[in-house]
Amino acid sequence: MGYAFFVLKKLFRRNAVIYVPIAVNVAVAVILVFVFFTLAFNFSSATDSLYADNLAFYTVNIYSYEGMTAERAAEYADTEGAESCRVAYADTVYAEGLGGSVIPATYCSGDLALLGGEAFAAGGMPESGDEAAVTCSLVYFLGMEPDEAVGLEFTLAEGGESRTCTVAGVLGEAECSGLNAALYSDVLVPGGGDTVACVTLRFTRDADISAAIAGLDEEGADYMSDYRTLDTMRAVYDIISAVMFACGGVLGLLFALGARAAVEYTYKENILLWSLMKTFGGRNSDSFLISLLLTALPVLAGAAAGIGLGALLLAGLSSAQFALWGVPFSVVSAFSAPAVGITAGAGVCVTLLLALMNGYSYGRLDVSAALRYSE
Amino acid sequence: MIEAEGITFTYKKTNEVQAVRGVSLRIESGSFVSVVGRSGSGKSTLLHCLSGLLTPDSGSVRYDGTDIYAMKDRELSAFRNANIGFVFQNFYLEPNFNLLENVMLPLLVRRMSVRQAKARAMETLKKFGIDDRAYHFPAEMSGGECQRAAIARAIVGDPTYIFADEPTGNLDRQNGRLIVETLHELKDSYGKTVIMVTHNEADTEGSDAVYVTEDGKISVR
Ligand SMILES: Nc1ncnc2c1ncn2[C@@H]1O[C@H](COP(=O)(O)OP(=O)(O)OP(=O)(O)O)[C@@H](O)[C@H]1O
Ligand SMILES: [Mg+2]
Repeated sequence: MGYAFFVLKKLFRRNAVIYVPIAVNVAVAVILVFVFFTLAFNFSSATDSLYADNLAFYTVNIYSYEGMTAERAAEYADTEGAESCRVAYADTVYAEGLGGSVIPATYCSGDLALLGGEAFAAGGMPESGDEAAVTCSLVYFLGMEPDEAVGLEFTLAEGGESRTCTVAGVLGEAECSGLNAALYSDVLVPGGGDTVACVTLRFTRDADISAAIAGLDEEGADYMSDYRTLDTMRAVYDIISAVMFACGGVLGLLFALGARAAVEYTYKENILLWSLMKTFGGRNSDSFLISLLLTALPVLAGAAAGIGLGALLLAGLSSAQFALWGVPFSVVSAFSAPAVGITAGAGVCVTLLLALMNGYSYGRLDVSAALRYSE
Repeated sequence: MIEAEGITFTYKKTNEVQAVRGVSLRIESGSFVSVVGRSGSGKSTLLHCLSGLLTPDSGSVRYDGTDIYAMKDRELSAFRNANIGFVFQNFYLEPNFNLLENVMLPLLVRRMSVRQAKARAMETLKKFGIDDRAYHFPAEMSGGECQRAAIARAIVGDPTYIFADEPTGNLDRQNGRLIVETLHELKDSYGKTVIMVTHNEADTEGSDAVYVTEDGKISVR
């Protein structure tokens, strides 16, 4: 080690010429990569939080079900991937706080058209507005088998009305995840999709459905406006994230090229020393270590500077810029852990990879030829 | 003792150049051997083959019976470090290292501590009368001084064999003479085996054996 550092100390001075451009190149690439990925992740988490904050309420399943308790509601919320559950409206329970990237189930009867016959675990497609398809998870939650659920009656609250429905079929597990996935509900009823896209169901213990429905009316209107915003957001997010990831990729390449240039330079610039070391019986691992440290330092320094500056830039840019775009969320973390992770991880990988390449070149160095080359 | 047996080497990069063609020779330990020949006759290539820097296409090179090209790369490196010193026409002093640091290099490669290496390198420089220039850089030195430093570097690790490829090539006659004398002294006072390639016939004076290369082949004179 003493030897490696001894040599390294000497080389620093000679190679310093390349460090500034390399560090700047890497820093610029890192800033851009970092900003792009941070924005991408922020968009993603902001969209998620929009779902969680504004839509959780509307993703609640509330059914007329006598045995419903707060505990059971919590259990249900748990099976749906919800984080918490609370009792509200005295007799009414609903789950909320569905987070992560799993989009909670909603109740769009319009989705029914997307289902094929093979989707049913029992029964079949509902034929009219008096019939419904329900999901397996709901049936299991209610402590039944799919076959038993077919033919059961329940009360459906839609818009300002309520009506009785019969279960015509039980759907196999329908998963709904990712921003682009279609929205599914636990209960699907044909014919409801045109004017009111969403049917909200609640479990009520006292079967006082009309009271619950009155409360839903107002919220339903809010929901629709949020839903439209979200829809726009999703479309925008798709485009922006594609652009971001493409740019991130290109700039990542720049980053790699910068590091590669450093490696190339330090290899060629110091070829006499590598040749001498090899001539005098130096080990490949020593030169590998030296060239790794030699190139890693400016690359990592540039990367650190890039991440720091990128974070500063984002902190200044985000809130104001997002407000300018009219995006309905204000808190954008300037220091996104995944973005830092990706950027730093890529930096380390690139550096290591390039040092490996350098080490490989060193291992294959033809001293005889290199000595002539340096004449 | 070095025994080369039918070594050949061909450069194959663009078009093939057969630089060494079936050379066999035997160099006794403690002798001073000169190799002369026209430019391009394969002297350097032969020297590199003999000293473990360039693997011949065929044939073998044995040091006291050990075939060095049968060794693994790592073993061969260690062998070079312990047994062989190199002196080159262009000195090949690392310009960013001062003389002392240049001379330390083979010792550092050997994993000697920096402090020990420094002491030993200084001692060696003293032997060549340039210890007062230890902290000067090669660019600040005359060619003769540089070459003496290069010789100091070649022997600092106390190798048995010294290979010198045209060590006088870049020096005036007087300085060249001094270097050749120094190399002879390595043999006479320290019992080193010296193999020297040269352009200059006068430098071969006092050699135990003189080989002449021509077109990749050698003959004894
Ligand atoms: N890397 C190489 N690729 C191809 N041919 C080479 C290479 N190095 C040397 N040669 C050729 O091999 C032959 C022998 O070269 P070498 O350097 O061994 O000669 P030399 O006797 O040392 O010459 P000089 O006295 O000029 O140093 C020459 O014809 C040279 O052109
Ligand atoms: Mg030559």
